[in-house]
Amino acid sequence: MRFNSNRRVEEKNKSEEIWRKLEKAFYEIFNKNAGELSFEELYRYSYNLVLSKEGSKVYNGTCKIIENRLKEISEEEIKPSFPVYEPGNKFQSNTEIERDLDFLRIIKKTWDNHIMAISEIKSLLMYMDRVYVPRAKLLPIYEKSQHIFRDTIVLDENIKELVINIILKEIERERSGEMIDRSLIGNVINMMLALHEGNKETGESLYKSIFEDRYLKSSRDYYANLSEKFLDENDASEWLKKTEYHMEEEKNRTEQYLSTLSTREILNIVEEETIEKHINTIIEMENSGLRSLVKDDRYEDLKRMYTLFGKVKMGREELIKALCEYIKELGKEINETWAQGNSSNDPKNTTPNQPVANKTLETTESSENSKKEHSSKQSVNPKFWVVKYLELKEKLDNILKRGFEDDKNFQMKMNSVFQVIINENPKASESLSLFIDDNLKKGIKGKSEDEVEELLNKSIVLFRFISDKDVFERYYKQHLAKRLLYKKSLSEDAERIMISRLQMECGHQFTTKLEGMYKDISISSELSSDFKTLEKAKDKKLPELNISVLTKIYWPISGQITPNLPYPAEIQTLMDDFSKFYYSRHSGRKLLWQSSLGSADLRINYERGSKDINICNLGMILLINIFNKWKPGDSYTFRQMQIELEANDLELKRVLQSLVFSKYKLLLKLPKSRDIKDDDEFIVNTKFSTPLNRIKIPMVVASGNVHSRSSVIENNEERNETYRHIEDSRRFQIDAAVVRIMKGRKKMYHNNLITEVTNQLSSRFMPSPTSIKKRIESLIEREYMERSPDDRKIYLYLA
Amino acid sequence: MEDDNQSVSSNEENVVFNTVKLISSDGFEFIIDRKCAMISGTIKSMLSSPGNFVEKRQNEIPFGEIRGEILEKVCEYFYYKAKYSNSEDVPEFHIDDNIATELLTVAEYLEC
Repeated sequence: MRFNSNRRVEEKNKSEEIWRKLEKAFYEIFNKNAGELSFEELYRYSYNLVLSKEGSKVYNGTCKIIENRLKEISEEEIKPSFPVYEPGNKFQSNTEIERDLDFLRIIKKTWDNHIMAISEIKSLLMYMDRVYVPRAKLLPIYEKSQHIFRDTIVLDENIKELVINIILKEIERERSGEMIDRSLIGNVINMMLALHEGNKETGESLYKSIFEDRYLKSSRDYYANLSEKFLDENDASEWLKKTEYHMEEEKNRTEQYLSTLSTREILNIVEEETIEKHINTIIEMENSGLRSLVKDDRYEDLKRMYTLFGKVKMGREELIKALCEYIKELGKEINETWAQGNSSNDPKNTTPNQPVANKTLETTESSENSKKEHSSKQSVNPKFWVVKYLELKEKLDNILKRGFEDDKNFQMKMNSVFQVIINENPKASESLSLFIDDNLKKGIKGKSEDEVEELLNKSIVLFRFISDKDVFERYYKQHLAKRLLYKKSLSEDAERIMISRLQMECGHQFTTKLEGMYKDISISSELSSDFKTLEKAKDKKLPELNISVLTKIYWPISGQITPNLPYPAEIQTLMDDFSKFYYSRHSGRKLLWQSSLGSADLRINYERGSKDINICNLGMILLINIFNKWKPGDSYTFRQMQIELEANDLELKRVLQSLVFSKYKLLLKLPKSRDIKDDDEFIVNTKFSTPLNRIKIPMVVASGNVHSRSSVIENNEERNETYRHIEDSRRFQIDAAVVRIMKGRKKMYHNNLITEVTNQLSSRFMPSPTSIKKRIESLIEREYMERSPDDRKIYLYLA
Repeated sequence: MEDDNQSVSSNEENVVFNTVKLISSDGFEFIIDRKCAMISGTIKSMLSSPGNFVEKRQNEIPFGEIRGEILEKVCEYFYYKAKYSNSEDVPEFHIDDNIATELLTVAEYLEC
């Protein structure tokens, strides 16, 4: 036993001796004096110590050395170099900055040295780490040393505060445009990233636990401050540019010398402080907010706004909301400027006939008064309203495409606002149809096929937004009818393209009547030429007759037949001949003469040569009577003429107006007042002359509107008439829809029926629930359906 | 002796010498390929540790407790391992019974 204990003591002493050698060597390493040391020797010492069960001695001893060494450095090097600040000085002097940086440099040097030394020590103690540490459930010596460094240096309250504050100050300095030592700060940040909380290897990094929050908070303060200041200066688009720049800058900062762990957060903070909290201020800012960007088509700024707003809560929602409001205003403005004088809103206010009539006269010599009226009415020209909307639509499309990346949600909302504003003009359908009419009559002259197609396509785009498609159809039919009857259309191709586009939009049903009208016209021209050949063979020397036979259901011509006029005998014969001719071809059909739609060419031999004159039928009869029957030089009162011709007062007045007041004054009137009284006298203007050989007497507009050359909006009387027709046709359509649905379902709840009917008809117009209800009542009355005896809300279909 | 598949092809960046001299406790010197020597974890640490130890500077490692006979066998093993560690047909590595125990201890020390 003695021997044994002796040997143990001997071994103990020997280990002690070896440890001391190791200890000494470690100190040398810390002092960077490893050059004289033998790795193999030291390795063998630690190896042998661990082998002889002295692992804890080595481990704890090493820890102690590290700790002592770091405490020494802290006391002797770090603490003496704590920067001292002069109190009350807000801005740092250069020397103060230098002192701050020196302090960081010492921290960095301490860290670098520590890492260097511990790496060497670690490799000497490799055997211990491999054999002893796992068995003793300790941290490998390297990790352990990091914790010692963390607790001794970085988490020292004073050192920690200084390090964090200095870094924050440096970041702020860089934000204000100064150059800073990025790599030094990067090194210190890396140190905080390398060190972890807790006693395990996987704790939160010190960067997260002690630095990040402080960094984010100071950044938030900085940007809150900056926003406040900048937005006072009132330039939103400039601000967004700046924001974009700041975001890039902050992102770079995290990538270059802070940590990408914070990239997302810092960007969030910038977004919140610069944009999210100021969304409405930015949008509404005068001269640089959303409106002015839209107004000036600043796509790039809009795109920036869109992109940045996309990053914050409610950003895009607010953006599209504001945009829609603005569109609404723009639309309202267009409606007020270009569709005002909306007399149909309040039909009782204006006397329907006179003012509108004045407007359509091609007056160059009308009185001052009517000129004013003329110009004020001019601005209401429906064409301009359409043009303005086309412009607006194009603008919005461009903005959507180039500013908002074709955002589907934006598109949807913009379209629905667009639809609302367009339909706020009750004359939208009519105006659009007039616009197309005008273009097909003269607008497309000299344009290439592509341009024409483009124009028509644009019209179709607007057409899509019109909710009462049936109203449009009605007007389009009226306008087309006039184009066809008076051969005003410039291009049949363009007409066909338009019809096929409408068909694509609304289906075959929508255009059958339009196509029918076309068919009538082409058949009529064959008929006319056949008839002419026939007449020629008879050699009766009658005037030529061109006839249009119109199928009644296709044409938008009011049901009332104009009373037959006292035509001259030749013409009456001709008409009778045609009737015979027509019935011989199509027995069982009935021909009705619409004399108010026709016109005649006649030649008047004046003293200074003859003139060919085109005038409406009634005018033709009047002129023939005046020139051929009555003695020249005689004067006639209005009443006389009226009795003679058995004409309608109103129409005769209209004809006389056009003969007296228009550009071509074929008749003179006494007295020269504008309105026509029973006793007013008319005489032939024998001195009439014009350089033209062929003239056309424009008709003063009323229901016929036929001779007028420019597109003109309807007056109230006409509009009421039109709407009455539309109402009629809607009633039928609702009836049909209800019956169709009931026939299929047999039994249906009231609400479901209303929804279904609305759905089916919405492509043509929006039926109001009340109107549907009324139709249902009427259908019940007519015994197409009945209410269920069990449940009043259920309808049953009666076969 | 451990026969794990430790890779030999690990390229050390700062290799200045292609060889290294190993010296036994009884004065035998073995100049062997550096890469082969670094099959030993211990030798590898010695040569690549960040510190500036004598061994690294002089590119020779004196082993205070390894006899020449043993060190020779160790070197032989390094080359054997380097040659066969990636092949399938491995011939047996012959070890004399009388040095087996000592060799085993050294292998533990050298981490190979």
